[in-house]
Amino acid sequence: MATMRNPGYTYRDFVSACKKGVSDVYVIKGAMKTAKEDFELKTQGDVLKFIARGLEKLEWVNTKDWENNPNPTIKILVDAYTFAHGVTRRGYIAFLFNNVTSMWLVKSFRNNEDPGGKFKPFEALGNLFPDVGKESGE
Amino acid sequence: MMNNSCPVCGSTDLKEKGVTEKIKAPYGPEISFEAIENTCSVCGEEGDFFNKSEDLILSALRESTEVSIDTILNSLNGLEISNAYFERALRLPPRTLARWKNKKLSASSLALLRMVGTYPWLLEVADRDFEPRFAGESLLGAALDKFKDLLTAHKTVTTTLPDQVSTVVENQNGMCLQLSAVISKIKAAKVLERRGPVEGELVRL
Repeated sequence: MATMRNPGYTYRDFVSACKKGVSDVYVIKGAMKTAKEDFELKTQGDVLKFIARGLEKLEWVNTKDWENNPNPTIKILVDAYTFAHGVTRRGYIAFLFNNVTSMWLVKSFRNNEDPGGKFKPFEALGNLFPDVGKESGE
Repeated sequence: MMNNSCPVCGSTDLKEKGVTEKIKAPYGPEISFEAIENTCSVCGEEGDFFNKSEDLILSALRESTEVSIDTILNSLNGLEISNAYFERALRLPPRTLARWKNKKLSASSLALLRMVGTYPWLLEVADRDFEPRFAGESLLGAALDKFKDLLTAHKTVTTTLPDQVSTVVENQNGMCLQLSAVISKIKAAKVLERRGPVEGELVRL
């Protein structure tokens, strides 16, 4: 699979489409599921408004060929970014423009699973009292 | 978007079905509704391709939110926080909560209500004009109370002693007992600091 050195799309174009709403952008079912679980975004409209409002501290991750492209004869790229959400969290978004349907697709929208960046206050508390829970096998 | 076509592959060979889903607002009940799901026969993609469920989702969420307003206000009343005190502490106009009860509240009012519902001690902090020292002590007090609850729950799970002593039992290393004592002393110190010592009172903290 080819990995590009630069983003495949102008991010501003994607945001402009999100501002237009669901007529121009579709959030794939898997991305919608994690958007609900990780960000409490209940509808596709919520996801697009979230993006249109501006993702903070955006960092480009990579650009690759679309793995699940149903029509592999047409080359379609996927851009992936991470973004800041609040003080302790980062999110991950991947999107593409489908030339066949003339629709933008949000392929991923979830927490960025960076094990170093998680906020674990209760783990720190557990370290203070290492014997708690041992008796019950917790 | 191409009309009535799959947003992933462009096929028009689609199926539509109703799927029962549930949604809830914070502090609200779960509300069921019939969402619409499309399936593409060509690429297998599933989802609400034409966003037909959005209004249904928002309507169910609104219903849950309306119930949640009463739930939060009733729970605050249960903590002996009156509507009048709520309004006074936050410097809100009189009858604000009565309007909220009639579901006339903005997104920011709803956010405020949820915050106070989650951390009722915020009202006392607001009542003291957000004085930093008092705010810090309130936070610490609430954290200690929560910690004590967690320890009590831990004891309840781990202890096998008879009922008559289960309310005072501590776990084997006595940590719960020690922490409870520390928490009590901190609370006593806070009370003493606020009111000052009474004449003749023996202060031993």
